[in-house]
Amino acid sequence: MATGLYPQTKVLSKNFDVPNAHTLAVARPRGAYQSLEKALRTLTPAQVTEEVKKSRLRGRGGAGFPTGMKWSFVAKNTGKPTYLVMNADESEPGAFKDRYLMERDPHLVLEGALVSAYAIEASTVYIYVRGEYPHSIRRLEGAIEEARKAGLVGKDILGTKFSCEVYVHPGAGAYICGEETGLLESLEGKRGHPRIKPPFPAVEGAFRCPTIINNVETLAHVPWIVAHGGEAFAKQGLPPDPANPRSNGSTGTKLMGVSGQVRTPGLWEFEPGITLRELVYGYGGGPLPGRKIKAVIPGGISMPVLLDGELDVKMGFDELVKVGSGLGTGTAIVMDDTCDMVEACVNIAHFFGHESCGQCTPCREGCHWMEKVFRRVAEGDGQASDLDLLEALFKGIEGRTICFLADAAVWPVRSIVRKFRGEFLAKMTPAPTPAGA
Amino acid sequence: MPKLTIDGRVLEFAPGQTIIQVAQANGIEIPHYCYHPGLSVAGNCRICMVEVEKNPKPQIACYVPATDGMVVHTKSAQATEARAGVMEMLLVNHPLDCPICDQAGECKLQDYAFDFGHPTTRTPVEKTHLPKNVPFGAKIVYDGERCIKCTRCVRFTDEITQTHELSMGARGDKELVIMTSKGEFTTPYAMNIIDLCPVGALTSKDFRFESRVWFMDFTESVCTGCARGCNVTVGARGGRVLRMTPRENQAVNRWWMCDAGRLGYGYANAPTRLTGPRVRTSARPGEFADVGWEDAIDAAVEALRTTARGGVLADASATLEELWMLKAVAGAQRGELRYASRVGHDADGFLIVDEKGANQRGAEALGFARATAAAPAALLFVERGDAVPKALRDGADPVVAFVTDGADVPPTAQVVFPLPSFAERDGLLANVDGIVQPLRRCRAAGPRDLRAPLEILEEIRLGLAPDASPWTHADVVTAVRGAVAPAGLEVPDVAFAPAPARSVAAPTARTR
Amino acid sequence: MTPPAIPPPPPGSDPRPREARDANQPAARGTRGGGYADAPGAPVGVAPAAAAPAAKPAAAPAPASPTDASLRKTPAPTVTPPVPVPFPPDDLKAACEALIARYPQRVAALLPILHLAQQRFDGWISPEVEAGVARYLGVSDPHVRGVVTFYTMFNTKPVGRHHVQVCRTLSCWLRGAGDLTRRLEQKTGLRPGETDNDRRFTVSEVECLGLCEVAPALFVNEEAHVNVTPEGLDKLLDGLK
Repeated sequence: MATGLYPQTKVLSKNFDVPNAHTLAVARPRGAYQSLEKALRTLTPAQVTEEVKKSRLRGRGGAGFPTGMKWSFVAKNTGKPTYLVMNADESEPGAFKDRYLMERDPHLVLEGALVSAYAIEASTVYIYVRGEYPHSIRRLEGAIEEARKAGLVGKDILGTKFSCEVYVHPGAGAYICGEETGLLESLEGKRGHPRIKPPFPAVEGAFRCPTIINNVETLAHVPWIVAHGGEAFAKQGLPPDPANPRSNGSTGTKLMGVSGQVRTPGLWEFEPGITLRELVYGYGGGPLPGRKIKAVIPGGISMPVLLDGELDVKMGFDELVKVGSGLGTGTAIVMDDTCDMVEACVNIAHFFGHESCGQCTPCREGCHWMEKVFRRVAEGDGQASDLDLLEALFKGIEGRTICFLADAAVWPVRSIVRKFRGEFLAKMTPAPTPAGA
Repeated sequence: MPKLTIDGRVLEFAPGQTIIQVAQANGIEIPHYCYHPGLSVAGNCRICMVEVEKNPKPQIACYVPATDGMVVHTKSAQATEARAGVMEMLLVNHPLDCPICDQAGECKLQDYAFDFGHPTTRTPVEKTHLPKNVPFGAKIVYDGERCIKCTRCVRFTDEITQTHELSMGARGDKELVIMTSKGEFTTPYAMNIIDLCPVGALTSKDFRFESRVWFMDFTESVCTGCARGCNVTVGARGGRVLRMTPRENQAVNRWWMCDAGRLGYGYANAPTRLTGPRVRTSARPGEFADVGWEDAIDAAVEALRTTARGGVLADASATLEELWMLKAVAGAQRGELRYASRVGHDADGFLIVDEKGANQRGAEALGFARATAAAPAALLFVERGDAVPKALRDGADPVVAFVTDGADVPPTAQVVFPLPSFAERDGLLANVDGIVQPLRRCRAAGPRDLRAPLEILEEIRLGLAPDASPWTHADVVTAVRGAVAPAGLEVPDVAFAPAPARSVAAPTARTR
Repeated sequence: MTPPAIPPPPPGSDPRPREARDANQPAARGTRGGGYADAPGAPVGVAPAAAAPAAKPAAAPAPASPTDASLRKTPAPTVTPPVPVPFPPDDLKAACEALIARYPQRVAALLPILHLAQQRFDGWISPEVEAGVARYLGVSDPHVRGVVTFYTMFNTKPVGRHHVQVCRTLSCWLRGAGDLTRRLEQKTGLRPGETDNDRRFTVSEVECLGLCEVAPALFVNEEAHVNVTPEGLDKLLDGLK
């Protein structure tokens, strides 16, 4: 890496390149489970939650909801058990960060789960891992077994009154099971159809019990927060906007990656503040030889694209929203000037059509319809009116459904249609001239 | 009480009601597919979206609870555009099956598309294809392309019958309804999913390609398959009953009826039905000749005047008025008042009851007792041969018989009148819970020009007692009302359509 | 075949025609009364001469109730329900019981148990396996089928010994997934979704595998292969017997 680059801050990734860091023998001397011990012995659940609130930690699954606030929604005194569910479904195209955590530092993941379960007074954790991550599943199950033998999972953890079971639950190939309530349906042994909300999972979630669902990376931050305090976490990254009392900023560190048409795709960790340009050109290595970068989706596939001239934006939640996109998973996908943007839309629309659960009319029918229109344009059978048709489709799909898959299906392709209109028009057969003209 | 506003109307509501419930209670129609008041809310069709002030996105009326001060617009630009958008989505893969689809004319997709869909298609793309004409058991056909995946049918087998024969299968625009690998429903209520289906995805094998609904006459009546008396709509055309479908009555059958009742109209279309009166021509049993109505009535009066026999044996599906008139004609003489009905073993605690006599409680309230053995009777009234078995029928050796099917005529009867089926008579029936409900005559069912048994019995009664004052149907209802009140049956105020004018002028009466 | 002429009524009797005794006449002759399209003088009945006699269906057994009359139209094909596989087999019993114990409801173990069942029963979930699993977990068989057909990792048809699953989503597509799919077809003759007759290969296109930084990626059964080139794919396939 060249000097002068925005530096990495290796918190979550500190063990990634350490051989056998997935074993307890290596992880424990490097600090694993010290935060669990501190939490169980010196803090109450409410105090742990308070630290997470102070940290302003925002969800790392793509939505960015403040974690401490989510935990405070757990319904209390229901007479029912509370569950913690870790969302390791990571099926967002372009996202691969959780995979690193689970494969390379499963004990960090496990510790985050245990401390968080303690905070919300859950005694069972289900880690829902996508079925296509067999290595992650093996690593996690191995870590759980080692931890159980060391008294870190199960009954009376570390000799305290806190008991907690942790189970890995495999998915079987459905992007929609990364949606919180789609995940819960799948956990319960059903098709992964998201639920209408309210009630929200914190009130009625898994098995109709209060449930918190958090992303792997989100919960992996909790041990550091317990060790160093929420305020210290909040000092990292981008602070909240002082003019906006509801702003949470983008605190702590974030795993960020680049894939697609760059020289050195990979995964790194930064305090937000790095710009998308530094990420893509600096760490990602910039475009492949002889090519130019054309468009970048900052985080996953579900966000509007940014053009090469728009990359000087900090990789933070609010900052990216201001320029009409979003941080999402923080793993960027880069398209260069050899990429046919119309074909890219076909590819993206096909993905969402394939992954639509099928419940809601606009998504079920609209996603594949978009794909068919894009395909028609790509094959040269399109007309200018197809662009109007697409705009009408976008309007009919976005915001009209039970969950956000439909919105995610619209955002990237709509931005491509609007920002690369010329590419679409260039493929179109000219409209027939009126007779007699 | 809390209030909300829908389209400018301020409406009170009970806490917990959703927008669509408040709207429906106040006669405001909000289009919907997946919503059904008898099932859980699915919220997936999205056609019920309305504009709710202070919400940037349209909201589904079937799920969002009404709140005090809420302002809802069902016809604003946002609501109309949202609805039209969903409509277009529903049609993008929907097959152009209307010309061959049984649902045409009573299809909510057609209705809503007409009301507020786009007038032209913007979709020259190949439609997604799914299995069509899939047997769901022996009585129901499923079409995956017509299906709008509203899940009403699946929710019915999960929540109402709890037999779980259905599920959704596959995903996205390949989603479809799948059935148990056993290939048949275990619930006796399966065909209700045909009524539930808003489109032609679930159709009745029995009704398949029989008739377009706009050629049919529909009459609100009750089923006489058992004593439950499920409220139904009878559809008939050209002298035949073509189908029966349930009507909503929360006190009797909620929204449902059983398959056996639904398909039990066949006897009304049997080719062996009597279509005119007959008299026995010789001492040898079984030899009858067709005669005119007035001749038959005269013969009946003469036969009853000269017989010493009394008593009645009636099918328990006879109406209260018919039983009253039978009693009036034959009761003065010696003889018992008896009824007969089939008793089954399939009561299920839901709708089906063991007692198959539709008016069994009414018969008992009028003083009839169940027939246990064959015994003579002056009057016989048999609508269904399985209700009044042959031993009882023939053993009654009646003077005058009212019989629906020619095969059920006792060979020693002297005068036989054709008894119209359940679909062709007006009258009152008391169900298993003592609720008195009207049976109504379908104009388009049955052979032409059958006379109502009430009319015939009144003419016979007047023939036997010429000085008696004549009774109208309403008079009989009044008399019945008083007679069954001690048994706890309440006869409601009910009006029946006047008897139709007969198409053929009968020879003048009483010339003989 | 023309129906026989109806004889004139004898004098003094009811002038209307007698009820049909000829089975080729329609069931209720007479009126087409009521209804929108019926005009006076419309022909009576529409009995096609070749129609099966309604009163006595020849092939069916004597109907027990009027219901059966409705079945005279195209009868439903006979369904032989699949015989459930005894589930769990002995070698999976302990694992299945351990899985069930993890959840407050039996059915929640369905996905992990289906994974085990698929591995155990030749790499796919047959209707017999569905029925066996359904019975074991106390759910209906369409519930299990609905789950099996929802999730892409469950195979509903037999697969080859080597299931080659190529990612086609954006990052892999940008790095040449299309070339790999085409090469696969050249080498194996198979397009996505197909299995060869020897059951050596099944080829599938799948969505994002989460290996984006080492795209293009593919799975062969449970093993990931990354940074795959067409040449590398050739070598890989040659080694898979």
